[in-house]
Amino acid sequence: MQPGLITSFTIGGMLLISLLAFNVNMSSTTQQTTLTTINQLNVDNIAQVLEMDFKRIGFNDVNESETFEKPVLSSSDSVHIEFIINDSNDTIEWYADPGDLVTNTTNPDDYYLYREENGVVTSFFPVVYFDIKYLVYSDVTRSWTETANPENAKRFIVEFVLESGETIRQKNNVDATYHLTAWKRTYTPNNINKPW
Amino acid sequence: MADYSEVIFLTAALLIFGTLTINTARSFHITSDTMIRSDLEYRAIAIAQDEIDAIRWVQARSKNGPVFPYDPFDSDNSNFLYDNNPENRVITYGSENQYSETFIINRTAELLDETSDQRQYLITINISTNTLKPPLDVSLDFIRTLTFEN
Repeated sequence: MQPGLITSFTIGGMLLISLLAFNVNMSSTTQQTTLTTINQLNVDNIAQVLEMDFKRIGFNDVNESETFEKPVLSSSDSVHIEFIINDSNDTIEWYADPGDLVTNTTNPDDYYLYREENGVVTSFFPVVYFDIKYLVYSDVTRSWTETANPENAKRFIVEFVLESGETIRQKNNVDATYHLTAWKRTYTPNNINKPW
Repeated sequence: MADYSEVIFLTAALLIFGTLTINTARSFHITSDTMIRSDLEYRAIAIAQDEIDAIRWVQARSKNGPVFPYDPFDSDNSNFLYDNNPENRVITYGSENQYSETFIINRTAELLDETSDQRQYLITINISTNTLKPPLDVSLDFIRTLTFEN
């Protein structure tokens, strides 16, 4: 066997392997970039809709005691809030149940967050965590304290955590990594905090 | 071998391939860095918006006293709102607060205009974090006019 031929095969093989490794690396990075961008766009979408809704709580509602239609559900896992946003009694409802899993993604932890307008689902988003904290102001302690009843709340802390629907990196079938991002915002709606 | 031209050509090809690979990897690294920064910026903007919402609720009482001079945006006033500048705030996320981020919040108020019973301020809220290198910096401005009772 000619040494030149062996050398050629060795170098050619190494070049081919490096090309394949580069191709795999590039595909993996492209996938990661795409999934991360999609996840961030979802955060932006949810944040904008939440901002629009929570700032309108009680808008033009003459009778403040009717702003909140229903109390929070008794389940400690699910989150639910419904409120009036104008004098026509139009209602906005946000709710999420960790048991209502998303079935068309490989992520086993994501579930649906729903938004309803007058009882009709207008949007739904896959999240892995969604929570609303209800706060009331105490003149005694001069601080905001948490309450379980949204009907008395004057301030809301809304938080959600999103994960990408598909893995950005996976070793065998067990160790899967999903892109994760979180967002938290505090709302003190003007219309339920009137100074008079 | 009669000549080494083939070896030279092969070496040159491998060098070019190596250069292309390194540049591509660098480009992807910059993209990843941009994505991480934008993610963190979004959370920082949410905190700055919370601060602006708090400013909307600030009330003014008396500008000149004599007993309770109260201009919360006047740094010479004893009731100055931002005495604890800069403030380190740890924000936690997740069902068990398993994720956390430390933000440095710095607020300044600049007097823009003044009348007998009103003062207009430009409040600048600066949110920064040292998690990344170089540090992330987000600034939001808000103009607030205070009307005093006397």
